[in-house]
Amino acid sequence: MSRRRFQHASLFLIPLVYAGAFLAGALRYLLPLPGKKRLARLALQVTPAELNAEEKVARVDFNDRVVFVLANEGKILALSARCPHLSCNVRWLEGDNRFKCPCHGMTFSRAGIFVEGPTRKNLSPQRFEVKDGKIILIDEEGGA
Amino acid sequence: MGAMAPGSPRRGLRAWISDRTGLDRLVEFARQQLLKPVPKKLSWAYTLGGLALFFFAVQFGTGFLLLVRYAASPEVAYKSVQAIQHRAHLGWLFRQMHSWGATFIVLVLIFHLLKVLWYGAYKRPREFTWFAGVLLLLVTLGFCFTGYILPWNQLAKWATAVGTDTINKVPWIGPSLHRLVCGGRDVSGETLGRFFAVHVFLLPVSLTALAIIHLALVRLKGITPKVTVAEELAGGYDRALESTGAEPFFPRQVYRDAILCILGFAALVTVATYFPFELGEPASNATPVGIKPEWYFLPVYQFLKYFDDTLIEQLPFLARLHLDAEFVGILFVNTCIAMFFLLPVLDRGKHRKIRRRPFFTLLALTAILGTLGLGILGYVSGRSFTFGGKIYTFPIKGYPPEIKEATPAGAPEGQGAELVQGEKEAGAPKGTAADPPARRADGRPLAGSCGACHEHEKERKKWIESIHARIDPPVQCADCHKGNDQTDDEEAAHAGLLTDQKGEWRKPKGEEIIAICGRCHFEVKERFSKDHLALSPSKTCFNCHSNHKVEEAGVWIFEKAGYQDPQDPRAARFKEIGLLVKGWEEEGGKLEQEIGSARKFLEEREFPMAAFAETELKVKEAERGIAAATHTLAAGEVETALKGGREALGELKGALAAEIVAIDNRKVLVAATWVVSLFFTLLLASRLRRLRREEREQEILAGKTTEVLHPKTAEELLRELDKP
Repeated sequence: MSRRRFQHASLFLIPLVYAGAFLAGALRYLLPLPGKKRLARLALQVTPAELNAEEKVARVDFNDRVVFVLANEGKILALSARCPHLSCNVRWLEGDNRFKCPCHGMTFSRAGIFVEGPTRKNLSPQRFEVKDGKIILIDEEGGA
Repeated sequence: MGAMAPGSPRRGLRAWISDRTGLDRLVEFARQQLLKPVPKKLSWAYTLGGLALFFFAVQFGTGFLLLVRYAASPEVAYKSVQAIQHRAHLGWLFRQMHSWGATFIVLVLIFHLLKVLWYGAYKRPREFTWFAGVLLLLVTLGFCFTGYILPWNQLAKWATAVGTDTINKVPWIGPSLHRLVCGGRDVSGETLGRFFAVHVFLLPVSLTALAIIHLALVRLKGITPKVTVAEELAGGYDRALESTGAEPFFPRQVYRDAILCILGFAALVTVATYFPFELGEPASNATPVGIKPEWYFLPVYQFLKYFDDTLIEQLPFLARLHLDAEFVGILFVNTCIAMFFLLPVLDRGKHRKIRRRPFFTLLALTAILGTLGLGILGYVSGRSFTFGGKIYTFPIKGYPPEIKEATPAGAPEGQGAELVQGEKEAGAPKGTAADPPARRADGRPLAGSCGACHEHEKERKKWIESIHARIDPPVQCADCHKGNDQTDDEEAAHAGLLTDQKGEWRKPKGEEIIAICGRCHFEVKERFSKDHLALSPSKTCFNCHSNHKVEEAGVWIFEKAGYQDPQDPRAARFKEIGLLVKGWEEEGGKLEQEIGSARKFLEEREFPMAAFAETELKVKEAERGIAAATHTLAAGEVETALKGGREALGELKGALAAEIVAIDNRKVLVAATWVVSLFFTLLLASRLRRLRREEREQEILAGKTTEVLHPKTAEELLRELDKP
């Protein structure tokens, strides 16, 4: 590259380098700050026996998300309330025995299976375990 | 415009966009603007407008970034600024650049304005360019004033309180207007919300509109030619340019603008790094001392001080008119601003050259010197300075200073010190051995009511020097001896005291002592080796730490107290622990010293130490663990506890060091900015030099100058001319 060409290129490159450095710094600045630590596990007060006996659906706030815990045909289920359509939180409709999304009407059965709505997807299961008679919700990204 | 092959995809896309948006016309317009003729040989002062525009762009960019993380609520505003400053990546730089950017813009605008005054550029036909320019300056000052409150610290709140209070002086409508501006009778969270809305919406919109109008007028009316108003009006702009010669705006003027902008940017990064604006204390109702506005408001701040009640006494007609003295001052300042705004209407002289405008020059010089003088007086007022062995104390009105001989304890040379510095806060400092807290934190009297009857001077003296008396709340007689120190009733006061079989008061012993001390020092109680009490002679807390004096733990205990009899079966274990503690005192002491200096470094830079709260808690727990382990008489347990202490201190040291390194790296950023900026400047300077050389060559060839060409250049030119 000739000296003149290098000079010419530099005239354009240097402002670009500045703008790039500023933008890169700004993008990193915009990343979320490390906030409250998320829980890795959450032991629930409600027991499997209570869920089975009362057929109730427990709504739990876990690491800024909502989880429904319930018994379905004798089996304990934990379902994420995030609608698979566009991420609104579904609601439990006691009378209809259904989950329904308030945004676009996605409807799911008690087991979280798609019933009707714009996209044929089920509610996502939430990881959990039952230990010493207690239901423990697990967040794989929590506790870090 | 680069040539494009017809029918090529690029051409096709461009034509497609242009057909629908008029892009080509826009590009052509931009090209015309770049090539628009401006007077030749313009001074560097003509780059100040471009520089101001550049700094406005920087303010918009950094302002947007701050806006993302800022919360305009009195509860969280300060914390959000603290998070920007210390937690977000490069947040410190963006915040400091934004704060310093305000100063830079005001400075550049002032010099730009002085240039306009110097060249008489506000005169016909550029009156509206001037009007828009002055409004731009006022909007900029509005930005500065409304932005000042946003960090919601002490200075922000109280400077705004003082600034907005002047509104109250307006007759009749003042208090209502003040209430409207502040959202209440005082500066509060409501004011913060209002100022924020004005700062991020109303003012940016106004500034953008005014900047567009100002720039459009500059382009429309052109840069002021060096001819009289009459000559320009008679012959038109193009003819006026002929007298000095004209050249296109690009490249010379663009290169000059670029040089100034890049150097200005490097200067901004430098001051933002090395002279950061302090965040100070969060806003509270306690007015701090030494509240002063930013430098650009100092002249007005000082000027208004002279409009006090003494003026009313001298001019009684003001009182008859029910006019507040300060209002007269505000009226005067605003009249000056209005006259300044209307300058093109008031100064209708035909001449632009400064020498042909003696009256204006005298007036402008008086105004400039007066403003400067007021600014300096505003800065020094209420402060004292030591200079040449004397202390100059400036009164609130700024002059004359009181001069005193400096004492060795006087203010440092050349540095200002607030007058009120050195005044002590009311009440004695707490927590010193000589002056223990007068009352407990829960309001109970010191040493309870026990001292009313029981003198125990010797024991009391020991206690007063002990850590138990220095902490808040202190550990008092009744905390260990039982009883009730909250009553004057003798029987009630002695209820629950330790007594012997005859009902006489007695000292605690053995397990009782461990239980009493263990109420606070529970970790020690839990791990207190049974051997201390079980083997003979039995030992309790008092044997090493004494009772009322509460001796501080340390190596000395292992050397002088405890088990010094080698025949004692516990002596060997005790000695072994003593050696471990001795080693730890050296190692841990060194670590703590390093941590102390790191902490000081960060505290001086207002780093929020709460960020290390979790790690510090670990250190405290580890220290308590070590203290407890030394009572186990088991060296292994002490070693484990020391390992924990080492790790906790190491973690804290590492966390502090990481922040220090990050702060230190800022110097690298400044250095890199200067290297790149200077390289860019040199490149542009060489281009400017080449332009000048080419011009001179043309002038020589055209016979406009008597200079001769350098033989080498002449040879080159001749070769060029010889070419077919």
